[in-house]
Amino acid sequence: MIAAGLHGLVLDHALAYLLAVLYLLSFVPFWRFVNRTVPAAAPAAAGEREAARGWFDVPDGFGFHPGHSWARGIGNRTFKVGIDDFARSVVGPITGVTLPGIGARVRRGEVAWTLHGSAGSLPMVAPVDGEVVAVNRGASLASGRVETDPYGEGWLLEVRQPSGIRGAEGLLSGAKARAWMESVAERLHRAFAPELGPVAADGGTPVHGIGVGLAPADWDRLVEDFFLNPTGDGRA
Amino acid sequence: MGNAATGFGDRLFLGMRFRDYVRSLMTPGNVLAGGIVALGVAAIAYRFWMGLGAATNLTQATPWGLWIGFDMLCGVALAAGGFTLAAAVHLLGLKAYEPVVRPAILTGFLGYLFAVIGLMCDLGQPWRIPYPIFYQYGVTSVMFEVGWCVFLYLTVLALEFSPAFLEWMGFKALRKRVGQVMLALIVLGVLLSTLHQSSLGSLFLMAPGKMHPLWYSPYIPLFFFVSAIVAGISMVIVESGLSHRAFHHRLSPDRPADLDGLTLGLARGGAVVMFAYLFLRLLGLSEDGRWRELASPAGGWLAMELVGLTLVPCLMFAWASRHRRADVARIAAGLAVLGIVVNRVNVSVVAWRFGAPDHYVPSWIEITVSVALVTAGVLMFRWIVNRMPVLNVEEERS
Repeated sequence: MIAAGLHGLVLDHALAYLLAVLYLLSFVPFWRFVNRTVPAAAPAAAGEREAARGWFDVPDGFGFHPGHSWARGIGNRTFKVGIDDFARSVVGPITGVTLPGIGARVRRGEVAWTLHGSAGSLPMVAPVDGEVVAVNRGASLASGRVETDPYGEGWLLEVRQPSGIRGAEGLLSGAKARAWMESVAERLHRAFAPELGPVAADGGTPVHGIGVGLAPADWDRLVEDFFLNPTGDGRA
Repeated sequence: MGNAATGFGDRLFLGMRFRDYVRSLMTPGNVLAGGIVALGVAAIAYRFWMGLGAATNLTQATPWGLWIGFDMLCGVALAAGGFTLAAAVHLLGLKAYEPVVRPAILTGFLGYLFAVIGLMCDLGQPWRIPYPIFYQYGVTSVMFEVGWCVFLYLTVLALEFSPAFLEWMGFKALRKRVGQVMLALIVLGVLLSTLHQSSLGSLFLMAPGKMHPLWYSPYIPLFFFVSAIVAGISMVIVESGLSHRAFHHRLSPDRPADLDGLTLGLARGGAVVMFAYLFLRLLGLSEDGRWRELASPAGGWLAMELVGLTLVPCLMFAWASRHRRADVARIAAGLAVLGIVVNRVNVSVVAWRFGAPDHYVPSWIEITVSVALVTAGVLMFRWIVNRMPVLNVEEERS
């Protein structure tokens, strides 16, 4: 009985020591495994970044929202608002735009208008908060202005902000905006490389209407991932 | 930024007229959440009106149930992201993680707040909760340390989060003052968390005879502390992933690019801590031959906890970190959070008088209150994030 007890005690202690040694021996390889990324990942990412560089136009003087809309201050707490080159390229050729009416209130990050194009309908989020004081009717009539000049004649709304509500701060501009757009293009290349086909592979720029060739599920994924359409109740 | 010039009503109702604001709340999700909270309030009222005996399935033999096992122990463990991230950023200098500190502190504050509300429901004489602080210390009880630490740490968390509130209100001078003592608050927070995360485990040291040997261990305090770090890291990954999806309109444009990198960094930390935690748990099993119980039905349930909800997420964290897959890291974090919840419920409820014929099963009132508290916590998190500078600290400070 005493011998059996002693045997059990020795076994328990042996197990404890074994576990301690096992931990020490396995920790170093585990640490190395965790801290080393797969070597192939870096060159691939660099290649994607290089391939995606300069795909989309990002002019100075505009504040860009990650939902691919822009805002540009025109004084008196009023902003001109429109879509960026990425949105134009994805949805085009554009067949129409559904705009909110004058007096409607738009909120930054929430759907404010819908772009209609050959690829499908694309609900887009506003870059700033405020009240719509003017709409570009020419844009909604598929005149081609949004498609040919999204940063100029193709503006969509004029939005005036009430006193004290945040302005355009937090929107990206200049070099920061260009770096952001490059990362977007890189993500697009990575996510839809097969669908983008030889256009991306040969180092060229994507065709106008990138979304046209996508399957419905891929289109939905692109809209959700790249245009930040809120899907649930985001406010309380 | 601009808040000082904004009316309080504008800030409260997100720049909308009150009527428009109320109308904007009338969504199916909000109505459902409101219904759950209302049901929870009614259940709490019933508990205080009729007493613990009528409202719960707790007995003298099983005095701790869902409200302690889930609301208190899980709430406190999952709130550990606050002290973990604050220590990483402000004490260890890992400044890259600063964007997730405020959400982590807010999660921590709300976790503790609702844990205390759950505790108030569970206490037979809740009006005596200030006794260990002001009246009758009871210094020989583990509860003394738990009570003091939770009381002090809840206060520290409120102060740690106060800069966001003060910036929202436009109280710049006071905000500056709080900023000057922030480092001291963070040191105090880490100290208090270390003390009481482990002392919550110490509570179970007094009942070795009532607990199943597979979950009882003299090292429970250590298990609780180390697993709280896992819980904190995992919860920050889960919370930041969900916030990223739910609060697009509050996010700074460059945040989406950062989030995956931060998630992978946290996953790396989570993998290493979980690896150590797993071996500690196995060492606990080797103590006094507890491993011999592994062949029992309880052993299967423990294997599920240790393999399915500890080893698997640990390896997933490691793999995600190595292959730079933030999506896998988020799934692993979800599993790890579930693993901590299962562990705390196992220790405080399942392992308690395991196999006894009158084994405890929570009443529907207990379940209703717990679900309502979690729902209220999520709603409050959303309410605060929609108003105060929590996700975009840099932007709002500029």
